[in-house]
Amino acid sequence: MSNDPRDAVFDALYEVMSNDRNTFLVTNDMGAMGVDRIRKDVPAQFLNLGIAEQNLISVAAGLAATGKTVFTFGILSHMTARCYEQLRLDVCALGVPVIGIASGAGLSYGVDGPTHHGIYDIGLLRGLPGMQVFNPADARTAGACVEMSYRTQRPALIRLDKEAPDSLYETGTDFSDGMKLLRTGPDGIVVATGCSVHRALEAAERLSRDDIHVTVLDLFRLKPVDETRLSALLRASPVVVSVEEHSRVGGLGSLLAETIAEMDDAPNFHHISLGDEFLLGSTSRAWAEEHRCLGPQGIEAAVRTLLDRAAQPRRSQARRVA
Amino acid sequence: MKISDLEEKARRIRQQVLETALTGGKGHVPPAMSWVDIGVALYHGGVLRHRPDEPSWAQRDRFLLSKGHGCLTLYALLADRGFFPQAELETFVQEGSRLAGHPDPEIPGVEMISGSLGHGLGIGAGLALGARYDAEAWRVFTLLGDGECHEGSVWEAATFAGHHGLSNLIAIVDRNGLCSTDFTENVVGLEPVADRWRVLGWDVLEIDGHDLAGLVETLGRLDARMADRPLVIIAHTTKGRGVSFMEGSPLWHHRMPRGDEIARARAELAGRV
Repeated sequence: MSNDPRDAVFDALYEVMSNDRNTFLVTNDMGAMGVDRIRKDVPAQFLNLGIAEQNLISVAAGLAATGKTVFTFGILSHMTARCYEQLRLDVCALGVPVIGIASGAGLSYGVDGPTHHGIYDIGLLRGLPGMQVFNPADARTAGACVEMSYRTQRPALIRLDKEAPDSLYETGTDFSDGMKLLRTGPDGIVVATGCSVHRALEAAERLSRDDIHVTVLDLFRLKPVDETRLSALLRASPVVVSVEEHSRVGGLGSLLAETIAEMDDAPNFHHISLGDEFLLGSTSRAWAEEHRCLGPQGIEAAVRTLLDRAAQPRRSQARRVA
Repeated sequence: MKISDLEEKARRIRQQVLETALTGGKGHVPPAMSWVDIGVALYHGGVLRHRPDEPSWAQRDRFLLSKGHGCLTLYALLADRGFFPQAELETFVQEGSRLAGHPDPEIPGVEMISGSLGHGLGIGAGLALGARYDAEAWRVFTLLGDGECHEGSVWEAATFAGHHGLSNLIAIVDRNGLCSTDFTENVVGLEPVADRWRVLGWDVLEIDGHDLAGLVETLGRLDARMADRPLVIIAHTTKGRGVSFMEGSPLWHHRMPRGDEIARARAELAGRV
């Protein structure tokens, strides 16, 4: 099996569409090898709607209201922001199965500039009642997201990364709970999503060399979240670090902060993100790792800082009040 | 129903629109008045296939009120047809009522949420595509405001529907000449409206949107239409139709009648003036 999440997604989609004539794939003139195969083998279920994302989502919603499952494919930043109101009103308010498959999570297209950065959409889509948001960290999870979202028959977005990392999970893994523990340790927890999961694992490995053992949680479904399970995991950890290649606003860190705010015994928490800014010009994952602490070293440093703080409860209390 | 009966029905629907708004203390009365005759032709003139006791009947024609602010007329029509009790109209915009200032699918007979403009034609195109894929005979009617046609998404959808020849899609443009605060031609000109649709691959009909005989005849013959193109009906209407001081006036979009205006409006709609 290929490690490319796009291959996994389109293989899974090909399977679904070949077996269910009431599934469609629509695109805003975006191509991919997997799309070509679907267009060739199930042409009646494929539509290129042209570069018109608002209409694409409205048409998808109308089509879905006739009993079809409609998958959409395009670039993440365009398929979420340009047509946000259509997602909100035509898809989510009607609760119809329109499932977005969108390329360009995080800084996948970093060199292409801010128009192509997929770093605001989690915040946008988490705000939509009834929306499901998937952010798989490897190909196997990505394929499973297609099957899971198809089974729910509800609105969804599946974010795709350009990286093709080694698989994190075995064939046949049950992904239904939306989160996976990749390693466990008593000293803290690093919650990561998407490509950041791999950096978190590397950071955990480095920390273990100093006998610091942290849990790493892959939160690949950012909505809905099993809050009971998440709270229990956070409660069991003296320190919590979240890592995401996304704006500071609205993503994984916000999600954890919302959960922690409702806990009586809140852990020390640090949120690693891309901040709240336009990354003008060409940028890259390597830049974000170095300058926004998104790499293994930055994650490791954040855990160490929080552990130091946790060891000094009075100062930490004072700081939190301030 | 005879044309004279339909005309009487339209007069009563207009009265209901006014009374519902007065009870609620707000509402878009003039944009509702402009499409009352179109609505009566659709719902009472034997055009729309529908079952009030089975709102989700699979074979129903889909009617999408894309100009959601015209919902007072839709509510009056749906109540009159028996989709929900007439008395429920008295709850309009009251807390907890299903009947908000813009419609949503919680209301029996309402297919989409509207109020934000420029959504109905795209959804309608998707519905029409699905019906054609399934070889279903039901049709999609979408009522658009003319001010709504300033939205770019309308033209994305019109281009798409024209390209795909969605002959089961019928758009009706409520061409009353006014948007919210001014005449459309003063704001951003839409003319020549018919040509715009025609070049995108639509059949175009222009009719008097208050002539019930003409509306019923035109809308009643759609099945006999041999077509491979979607159809747009540009219905020339008067915003605020039936209440003289509201008619065709940029002042009257969501303004409510006050004082003597109320009695005057009631009298005119009752035919006493």
